[in-house]
Amino acid sequence: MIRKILLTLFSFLIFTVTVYAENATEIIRKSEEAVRGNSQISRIEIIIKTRRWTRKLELKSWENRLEKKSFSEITAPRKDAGNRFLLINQDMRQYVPKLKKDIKISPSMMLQAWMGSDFTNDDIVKESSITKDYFHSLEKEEKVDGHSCYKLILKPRPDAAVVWGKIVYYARKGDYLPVREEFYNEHGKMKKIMTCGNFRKMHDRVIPTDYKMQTVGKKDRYTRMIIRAVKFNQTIPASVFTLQNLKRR
Amino acid sequence: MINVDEIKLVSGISWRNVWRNSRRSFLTFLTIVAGVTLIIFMRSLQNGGYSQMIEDSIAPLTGHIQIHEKGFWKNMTLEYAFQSDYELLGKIRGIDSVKEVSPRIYAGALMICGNSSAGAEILAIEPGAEKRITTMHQYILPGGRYLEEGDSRSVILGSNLASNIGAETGDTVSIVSQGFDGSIAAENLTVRGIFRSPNVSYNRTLALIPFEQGREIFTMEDYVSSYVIRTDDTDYVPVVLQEIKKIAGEELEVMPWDELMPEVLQFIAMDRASSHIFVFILYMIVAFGILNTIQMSVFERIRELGIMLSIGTTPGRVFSMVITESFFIAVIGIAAGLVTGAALSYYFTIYPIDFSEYRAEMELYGMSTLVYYAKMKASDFFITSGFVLVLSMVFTFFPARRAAKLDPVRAIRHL
Repeated sequence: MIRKILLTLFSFLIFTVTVYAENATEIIRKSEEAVRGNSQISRIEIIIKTRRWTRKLELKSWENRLEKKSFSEITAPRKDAGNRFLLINQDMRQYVPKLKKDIKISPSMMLQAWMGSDFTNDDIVKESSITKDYFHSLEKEEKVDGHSCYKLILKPRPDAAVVWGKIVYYARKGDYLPVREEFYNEHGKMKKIMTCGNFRKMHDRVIPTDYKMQTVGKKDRYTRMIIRAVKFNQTIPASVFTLQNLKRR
Repeated sequence: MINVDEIKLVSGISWRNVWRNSRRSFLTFLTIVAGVTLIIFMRSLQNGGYSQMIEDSIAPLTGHIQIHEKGFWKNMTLEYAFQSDYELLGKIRGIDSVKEVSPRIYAGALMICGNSSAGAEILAIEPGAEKRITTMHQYILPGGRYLEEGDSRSVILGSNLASNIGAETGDTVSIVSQGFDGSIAAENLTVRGIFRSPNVSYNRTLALIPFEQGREIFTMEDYVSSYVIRTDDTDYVPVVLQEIKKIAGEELEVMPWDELMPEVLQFIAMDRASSHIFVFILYMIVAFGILNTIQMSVFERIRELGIMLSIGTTPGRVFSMVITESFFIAVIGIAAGLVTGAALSYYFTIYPIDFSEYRAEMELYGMSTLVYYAKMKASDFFITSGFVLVLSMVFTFFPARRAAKLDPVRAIRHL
């Protein structure tokens, strides 16, 4: 009898968890979809502040999220202009004009800082996917930066090649847009915080256009990524995501 | 009051006692000589081994003292750099017993050769000055050469790094990194040589490029990562360190080799601790050797001592007599032991123990020191003789007290 009750309780428990998980996954999916669309063509400005210097980079970027392809090119400053990055599935390559050749960024380097910023290579090309590589669960509702948000906990799937032990994701209620993301290492220590701000209408939708990534414990540095212009769900010719395009002179 | 006559009398009797049974005295003497010799020899070998170990681990790359911007050593990134200061360089050169000082640039980079790539540590050095500071140029494999003044677009690779990316002397490799100003730093470089140093971690990750090339690639302007300094001898480091600390700015960290490579000292501390146990055993052998022979000499002379006591010799005088006997033997033994110990050590200073034949086996255990020579230190001589003297006195105390406390009537009848 007791066993039966326990069993029922247990199945209830599992049931509730699944329901929650589905909701959470749905929120993350919608959030991703809202911010990135199926594809996007964008002009991005990246401001890197370190202990020593602050510099501004400008990039043009093409991304096909469904096919997991992305291409980006630095357009300013002059010194770094012409450096291009191509990602097809897992394979990331960088064209360095100074060397007149392209180099492969090995998977082990995906987690290194991108150009001295607080973003990793992985953050820039979004190789890993917060929808597919993580289990999601809905924690509670919380107010962040004046927005009432869903607080979501993301735990990596056992087979996923991701670096974080946990991500806490705050998504706005209503339009599911991200407001804040906290990245924890496998020991549960917070390592990085990304705050999303300046919600504006870009092309056909409202998105956060100013992302600020900070490394916990390094107060004198941050990286900001500002979306200057973006077009969603445009057809991008397949020739963009090719080695020829990467290596063109 | 010191009674000179009393001392003369007691020491006179004791001196004759020492020689009366010379074989017994000789045994005690031998115990002390052997003990002192072994301790001196062992300490000298240790000193030599340790200095060689220190030398071998700091010589290839570390130098004696390094100067960086505060925080460099903890973070080891290009971001930590300081403006090269010719005035400071000149002042450091001017310090007594500074042999050479040279600037360096240190950066992490991705090294690419064909389709393979690996992370590498790039060290930009001035080849001429560096040869007087480090010994890396001695480890270049045949077929290649070390960097030379005026080299451009050149690189020297660690042997494991080279084989990891499949590069050989003459090949072109590319490095990609980030410059000091945050820009993308990249260059194609020709491999001039490949080194295999005793330190495996250098072989795995290190690449040397000419200093000027490094300045250009990493857009350093007049910033450098470090100054590396070599003094005439490791022993001068503390003095030179203080001098440099006086003239170096607040924002700089001045680090001696033992802070740069603490693992060497940790190993030495561990080894020294285990050697203390061994030396303790040697001391104990000496101590019990003395106890044994003096005890025997007292036993042998019970009748004689009884007669002395019964004709009016005070127990105190008997006590001093036995102690003085032992003192004479100990002093002569220690003196002889120091001489033989020094002689033995000196032999191994000139003809060191050479393990070069077992190089491969030694390297397998991470031992880069192959030649062990002895190095004598005055402090070892003082400490050892002091210790042995005190031990022999302490261990003579018991037989001497026994002699003094003899009951004359029974002692006379003792057979």
